[in-house]
Amino acid sequence: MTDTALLSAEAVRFAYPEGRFVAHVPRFLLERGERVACVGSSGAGKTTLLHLMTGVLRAESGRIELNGATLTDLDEEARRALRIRTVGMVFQQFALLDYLCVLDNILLPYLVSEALDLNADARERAQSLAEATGIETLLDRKPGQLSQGERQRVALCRALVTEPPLVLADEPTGNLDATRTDAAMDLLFEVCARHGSTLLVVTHDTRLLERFDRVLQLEECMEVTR
Amino acid sequence: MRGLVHLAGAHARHHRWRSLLLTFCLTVAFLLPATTRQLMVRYERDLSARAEATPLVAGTRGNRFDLTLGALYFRQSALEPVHMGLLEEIQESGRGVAVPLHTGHLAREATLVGTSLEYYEQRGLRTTAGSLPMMIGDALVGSAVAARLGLEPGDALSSDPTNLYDINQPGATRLSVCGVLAPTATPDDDAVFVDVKTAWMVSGLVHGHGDVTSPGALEEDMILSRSEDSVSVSPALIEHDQVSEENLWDFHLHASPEELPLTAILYFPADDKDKTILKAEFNRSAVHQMVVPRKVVDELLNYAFKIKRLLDGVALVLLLSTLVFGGLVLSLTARLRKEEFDMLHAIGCSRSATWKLVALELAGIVTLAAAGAAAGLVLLITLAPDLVRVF
Repeated sequence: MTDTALLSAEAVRFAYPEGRFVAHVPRFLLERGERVACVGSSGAGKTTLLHLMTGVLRAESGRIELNGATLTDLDEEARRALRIRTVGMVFQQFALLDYLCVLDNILLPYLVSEALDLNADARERAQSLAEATGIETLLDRKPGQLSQGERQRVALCRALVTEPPLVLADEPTGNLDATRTDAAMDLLFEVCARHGSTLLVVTHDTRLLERFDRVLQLEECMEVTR
Repeated sequence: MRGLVHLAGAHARHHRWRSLLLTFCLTVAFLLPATTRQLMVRYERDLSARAEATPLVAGTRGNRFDLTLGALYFRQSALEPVHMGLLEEIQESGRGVAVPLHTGHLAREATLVGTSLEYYEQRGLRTTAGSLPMMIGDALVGSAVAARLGLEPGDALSSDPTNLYDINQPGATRLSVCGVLAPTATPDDDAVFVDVKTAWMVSGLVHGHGDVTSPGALEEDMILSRSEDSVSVSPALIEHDQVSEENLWDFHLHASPEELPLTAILYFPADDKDKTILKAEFNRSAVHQMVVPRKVVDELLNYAFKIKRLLDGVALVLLLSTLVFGGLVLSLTARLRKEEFDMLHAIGCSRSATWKLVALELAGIVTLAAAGAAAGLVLLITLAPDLVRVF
């Protein structure tokens, strides 16, 4: 791993318990501050790759380093603590909790993990992210009362509230029309740039690829045997 | 943990109807056994205390439950009465205190209890106003009766007539309230106490009327027959319906005092030996019986406990079915929330924390249901005291 690398993986092998899906990642590298797109067809294993690189799934063999820590040497608890501090995730369809207000959705990582301290700084950060994304007047609303664009902004704020060095976005614009997709991507780039976060976006929307520093083909990053 | 509590609370509030339904079901499942238990504890305590305070009860041979319930709780009894002579026999034996008890009449729907001054002493009753009944026609009212009817010493209280349409039956008797008893949370609160002679007066066995023997005291057509030692008068003769200082000496009885009826005799022996001897003597009789109220009440409680066990079984089934229902709701919820839990896990929440989330919500609902059941029980006792009152 180079000094400038945020995430690196070598000779990683993973198989689901049923053994019908075996993934092999010979080499994977993300430099700090990079904006990288990863493209691949549906069902090609994009989510598996993201979960492997963030320690949600544990590799059977190989080595993964994330922000200076060797993920493959850590136990479940340590991987989780590292993940919540280091990685911000934007999910497909945003995955907001409909029973929480916008502010609580943004602060969700602090509510579900004892590794993070929900203090005044965190609240202030949530407030300023909301202001930066133009949703500061919606903080007491429920996700059901928001438009798609507003929901996307909330998801983005939640991913960035812990000031993670790495932001992973899994098909973040999958449900948006072209105009909204552009607006959402503008926002994603802008906020990541402001926080100096590395951005890895998994997408199959080829129209967006021009905007990234680097584009990876999933099949080149990860070999899958079914 | 505070964050998880916040999340669990928010989820429960968001799905408020589901949470309320589950809370309601659990509240009912908790309330039913808690109520039966509370009722049983109270029944046992109250029944046992009253029975414990009455060592023996004598009466006519027959149903021992009738005798005990009639003597202790003034319930109507189908047993034949015993006679005053029996009381005198017990008193003459010198083996303790025998207290007469005459029930069967009502005064403004409260049981009218004819007894003697020893009753108040043995029961430890005291007055909050006025005095004990010292004279025929005096009535000492229980605290609940006094509160219900707004009675004070000096007021009048009428007995309920036994039959309005039969002039041969005694009519209402006006009683003079001489005192009010302090509350005791026993059947004494709901009774009106009079001297046993007053009770016989209400029954028509003792009566008072003006002079019928002096020539010219009555119109001739009121006199049915006259001999040297007696005068028979028409039933149309109006008797005194109230005792006063002026007519006190007009009251008399046309039978042997020994034959006057009593519902039961309460017996407070001086010691265990007297108790055993008197009980043995009585139970040799073919006509009379003497029972130990504590034993009879224990028998009654055994029946009640059998019913309680049945109700406990029903409550257990209800609780189990509610738990199964709750488990089903939670497992369906967990299934429906799989995506949410996967997302939480992906951002760094542990699997155990997601189960804690469900457990906290369940714990909140169970706590709320338990509090609801406790509040329901208190409300039940407060708003429906008749349900939990033995007497």
